[in-house]
Amino acid sequence: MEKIIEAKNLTKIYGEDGTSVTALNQVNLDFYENKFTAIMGQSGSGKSTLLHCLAGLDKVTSGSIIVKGLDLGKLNDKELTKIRRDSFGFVFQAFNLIPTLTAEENITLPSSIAGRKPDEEWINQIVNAVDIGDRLNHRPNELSGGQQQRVAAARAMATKPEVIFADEPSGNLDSKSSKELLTFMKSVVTELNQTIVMVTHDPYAASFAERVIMLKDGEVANDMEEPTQEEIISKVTSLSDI
Amino acid sequence: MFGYTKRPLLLIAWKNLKTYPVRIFLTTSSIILGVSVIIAANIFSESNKNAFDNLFSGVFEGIDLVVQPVQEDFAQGFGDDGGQGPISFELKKISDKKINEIKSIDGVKDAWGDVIGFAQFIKFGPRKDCHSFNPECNRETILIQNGFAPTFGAAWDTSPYATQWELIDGNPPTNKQEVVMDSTTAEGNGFLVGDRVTVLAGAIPASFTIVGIAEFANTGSPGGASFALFDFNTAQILLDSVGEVDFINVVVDENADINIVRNAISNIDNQGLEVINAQEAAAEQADSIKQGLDFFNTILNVFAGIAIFVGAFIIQNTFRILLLQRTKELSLLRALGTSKRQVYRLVVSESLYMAIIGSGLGVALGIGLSIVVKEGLKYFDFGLPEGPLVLTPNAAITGIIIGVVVTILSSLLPARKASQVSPLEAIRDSQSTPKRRSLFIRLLIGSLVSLIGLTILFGVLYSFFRTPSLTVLQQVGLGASIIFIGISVITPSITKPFVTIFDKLYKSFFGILGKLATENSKRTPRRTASTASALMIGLTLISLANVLTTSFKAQAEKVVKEVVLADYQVSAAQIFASPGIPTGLSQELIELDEVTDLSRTRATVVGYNNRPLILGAVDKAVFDLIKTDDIAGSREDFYSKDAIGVLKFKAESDDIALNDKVTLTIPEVGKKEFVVRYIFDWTTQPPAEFFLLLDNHEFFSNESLDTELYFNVVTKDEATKNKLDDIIDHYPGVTLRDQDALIDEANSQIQLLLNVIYGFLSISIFVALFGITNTLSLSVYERTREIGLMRAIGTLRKQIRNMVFIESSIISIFGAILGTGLGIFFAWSLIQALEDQGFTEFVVSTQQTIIWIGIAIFAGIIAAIIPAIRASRQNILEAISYE
Repeated sequence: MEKIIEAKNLTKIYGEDGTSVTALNQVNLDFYENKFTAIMGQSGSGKSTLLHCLAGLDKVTSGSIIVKGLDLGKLNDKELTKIRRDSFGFVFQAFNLIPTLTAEENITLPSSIAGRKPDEEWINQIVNAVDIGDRLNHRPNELSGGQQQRVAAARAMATKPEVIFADEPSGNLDSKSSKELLTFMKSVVTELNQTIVMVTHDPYAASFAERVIMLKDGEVANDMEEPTQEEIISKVTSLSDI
Repeated sequence: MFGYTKRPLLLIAWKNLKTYPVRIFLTTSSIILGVSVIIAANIFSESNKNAFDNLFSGVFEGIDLVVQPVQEDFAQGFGDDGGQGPISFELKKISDKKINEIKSIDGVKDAWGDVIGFAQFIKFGPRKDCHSFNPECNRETILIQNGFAPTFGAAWDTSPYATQWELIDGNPPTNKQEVVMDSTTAEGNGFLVGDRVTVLAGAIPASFTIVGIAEFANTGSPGGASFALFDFNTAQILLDSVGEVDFINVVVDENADINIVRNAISNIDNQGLEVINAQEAAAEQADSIKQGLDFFNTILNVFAGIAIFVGAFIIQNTFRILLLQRTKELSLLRALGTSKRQVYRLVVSESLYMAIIGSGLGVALGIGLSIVVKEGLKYFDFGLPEGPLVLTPNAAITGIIIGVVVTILSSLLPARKASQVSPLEAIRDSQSTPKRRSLFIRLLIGSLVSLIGLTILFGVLYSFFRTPSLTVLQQVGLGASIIFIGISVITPSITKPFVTIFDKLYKSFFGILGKLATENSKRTPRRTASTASALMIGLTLISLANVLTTSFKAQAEKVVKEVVLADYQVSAAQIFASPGIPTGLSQELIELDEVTDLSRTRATVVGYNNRPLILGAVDKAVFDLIKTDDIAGSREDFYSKDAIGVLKFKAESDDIALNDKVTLTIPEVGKKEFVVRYIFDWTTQPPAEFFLLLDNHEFFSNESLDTELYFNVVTKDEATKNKLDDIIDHYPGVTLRDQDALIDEANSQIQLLLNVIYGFLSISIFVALFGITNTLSLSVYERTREIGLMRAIGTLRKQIRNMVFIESSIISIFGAILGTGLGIFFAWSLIQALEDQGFTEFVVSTQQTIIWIGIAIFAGIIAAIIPAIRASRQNILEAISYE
């Protein structure tokens, strides 16, 4: 398997000297192609910060993130933005879609802003996979929460990115929609050869992943391959007990 | 100990303001501008009134009584400078022997006569159209005039009691080769004591030595008028007053009773003389001038009103923005137990602080503005009297009150909305989604109002509905105003359809950014509309002015082409300054082989039915040189001795028919009866109402000045023109023009007026810019999340900026097109209304229209710079984080 992201000695400190908070402390992690990785941890564990740094949304205080041989820390805003546009896809917890655009326009938004023609065939394939073909001309406020998140997932994949970053994608969904979305995400990795890095605090969501990384107080506490939901829950419990 | 605050809300309000100075600036900018225009308008008119008061008390300083000749009834109202201008008429004068008679009356300390009339300084300089470094440059005579102020000649008063003029350099004039110049003219044109100067007085220019420079009542000259002061006898000769004076100034002994002296003087000649109290006369004259200035003041106030009106839109928008940004803070106050009423009061009291600060700054800026206007007018030689700037407490208070009231009224609605905020808002993390209220009722009301306006407007144009007691123009104006209000009400409802028209265009031009921008402007149609309205007002007025002027120009061109059949016209260069054209010129022209038909025109004032009336005189050729329509009678009959010609409009208004008898009182001749032999029509507004054949009447043919000359030449070419120029160059103050030159001149006057109007209206566009900035700031703030999301998924900063610019261009295009459309429509209506007065041309300059829409769009983009930068710098993480 090929390494797609390489994080070395990541440290992120918020605030000034007196009131500083260390969100990430000397984190070393590698992420691999065609793999569904979940990052877990409680509030304040640094999991969201890690995702933001990996995705080029936030700058690290020290350490480096290498994506396709490029060090994200050394790029300027324009270069970072282009990497996000062309190499990354994003699914957030909520407010994923531009309310004035239709589902279809939202899906093709990253190609539109890049000024490229979207790959019709590929998009048809995704749209069928997320089962929103009949809602393409609707605006986000006419879609259910589950549908909205599936549109967001479709958008994240539309440009065939190197990595899709998902931040609590199922956090606002009921259990049925949640299962549908996560099943779809898993199938994207196994069937469409995509790479997903997902942040979640929910063991059920994490159980869809092939690899689960647990963070505690800004440090990697656990790194598991193919864990079951039970294993995840017990690890989570043991981590919060200490 | 904890402090206890008696009025916590006022304190919070004050602290809020202190924390966010930029906020204050944004909101108050429009208040400041509006108030400053009011203040500047007021200072300007007050200062002028004050200066005129000083001037007129200066005119009569130290003088107790003024003795004037009793004028013919009809000459009343023509002022005491009746000799001015091309229409000269004989004013009665007083024999200078009366001066000594008055001096001998008991109680009279001193008395001296004054002579005043037209005189103008002349200098020689390079032609305006030729560069000074060109040695071949033709030198020409330049008539000296300070702006539009008149030019006078007068006698230098030698009485020790005469204090109006004071020498600041040199000596008084003592003989007929000497002149004293007013200091304004001397400074403006670089004349010094000892210089030679040519003065045009009467028909012939003559050369004088400047022996002194004098100041009038401590200012350079009264009202900027130029004054050539001669010794008494010279003045009498030059100013057509041999053995006579225009009036006599009298100083009364301190011990004598002024009324007894007044009666004694009256008794010299009860019929012919009138004795007035000098101080009362000063007040009277100042008053009449001040009334004229009131008109100017009204115009300034209208512009101030527009600025305030546009400002009100913007203040309201700004408050909405600020309050939306503070939803959380306000709802926290609500959660802590502050009542809705208290929140309302908090917001209103914030607006009160802002209103006071803004109005105060407005007063300060207004003072600055008035200084700029004053200096600006001075730069253009617009002769207004010198004097200090006066800011009356009343004006300052009025300005502040208007500013405060408008601001508070504009804050009431946003304040009410803010007070409705739910206490839960502070805890909830919700995206603000404005409630959608139906715009249908708005459309209905707006359409109804517009329909009423249209009925009033078209009612008068197509004469199916007339409002009582309004003139045609007033009714059109009323209709237009009502339509404007109606359209303003409708705009939010038509925002969506309007923007939809541009959807495709924008999408194909700007791709997804165009789509996003158009959608965003449709999202809050009310806000988009009210922002666009601010711009709409400015552009309505600008395009109205624009279309009216292009139409007037076209009209002028058409009239000149149609009406002036003559190859050339000769007139006095400055119509209110020159005495007319010396008759020698027409003689010289007639003797030229090149000149074929020639007609002189002259005019004088006569009495008709006890009212003054202008009687014109023409040569036979005039009817072939100016387009003439015969209405009744014939030209041949008009040539007879007792015949008089009447213009159609006068015949209609006074019910004069052919062969009626008309009695005129002619100063030189007395009462004389004429028979109406000819009724005719000229398309232009002619200078006179009744006409005689010039050569038939001695009082006309003996005059030394013509008003205008019209003539044809054999071939109109360069050689002829040069020959004509050679002759005319010997007559200073006379201009030769052909059709094209007449058209050019009319056009340049119209253009000058338009430029002044543009200057004032630019202020309203400037105010509207602040509105666009504020609205876009609000839109950007509301869409923090969206913009963050777009940035996260890879939208470049530049693209975000462009999106804001595109949205701004939509708002400005909306406002500009609505405004331009309304302006063109209103201009059309006005011209229709003026049809009776001969206005037929309606011309819209596509170029000008496009330029102004372009300026509006450009202005909109400038206004979007700050919000665009702010949007592009937004922190992505803040926008997408939830914890």
